[in-house]
Amino acid sequence: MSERDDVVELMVRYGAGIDRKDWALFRRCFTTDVHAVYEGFGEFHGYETLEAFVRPSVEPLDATQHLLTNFLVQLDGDKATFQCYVQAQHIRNAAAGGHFFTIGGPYDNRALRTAEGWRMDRFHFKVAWTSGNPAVLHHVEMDELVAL
Amino acid sequence: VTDREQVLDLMVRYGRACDTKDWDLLASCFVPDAVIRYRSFGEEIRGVRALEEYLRGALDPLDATQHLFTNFAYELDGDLGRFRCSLQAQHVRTACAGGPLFTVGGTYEIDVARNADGWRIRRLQFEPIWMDGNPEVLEHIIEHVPARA
Repeated sequence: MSERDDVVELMVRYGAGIDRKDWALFRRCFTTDVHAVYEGFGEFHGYETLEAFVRPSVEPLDATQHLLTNFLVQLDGDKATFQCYVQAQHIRNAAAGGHFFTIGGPYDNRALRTAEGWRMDRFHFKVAWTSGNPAVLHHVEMDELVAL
Repeated sequence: VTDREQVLDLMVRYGRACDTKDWDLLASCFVPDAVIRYRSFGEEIRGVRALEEYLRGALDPLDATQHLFTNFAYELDGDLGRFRCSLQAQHVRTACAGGPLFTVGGTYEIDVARNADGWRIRRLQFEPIWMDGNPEVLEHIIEHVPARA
């Protein structure tokens, strides 16, 4: 497998970590000192802070699906900067006004090759569009701009 | 990096150019005399300058777009090749009466050639399969509004 494939697989593990609520898998995608930004949601310094946002956002949901496409990987030795797109479906059956809330947008991330494999130390998600019922994420603080 | 990876990167750069309105990046994806057709969204476009003009007109009124590509199938042979891929494109115009979103799904058929600078698009044809949301978002380019469900 090429290094490009390794970086794509890292991001696939990120998506699977969320969609399966597998926080051990999610943890293995990041360095401990990761700097992560979800525009419109917050900025997080360090893995524990990141998990403290993502986990309670995802746990109340019945399901999520992170479809990842459009990867562009630039390798530079033990560093890889990469972009990709996501279309993420969020489902909460008990939400008043509809079960679905969909978010689309680009990631601009960086991964480092460590003794434990590739890990992300810079992570930046930008919301391009949303559709459906924002109340699916009623338990998550977000800017008004996120919910079109 | 394999030829297939280079061609995949080419298509991802094309999508990125549209979504970030980066016209230099767009030009770097095509040969200068490329022929482009977006069915249901206008006549054949000849040349990369005409393409830039078309896409500025199409995309400048929009607040955001996202072109998601998947299902790539390649037929590469030496310095020539073609490939198909699927698209789901989201178009956002926040101030649009009737809703901010219009989604288009369809198929690209693309001819590519390798020159000294790498792989470039010679011919691009887009065929829509489905549309959803508010067609007014693209009222400035759409040729006929699909039937509403």
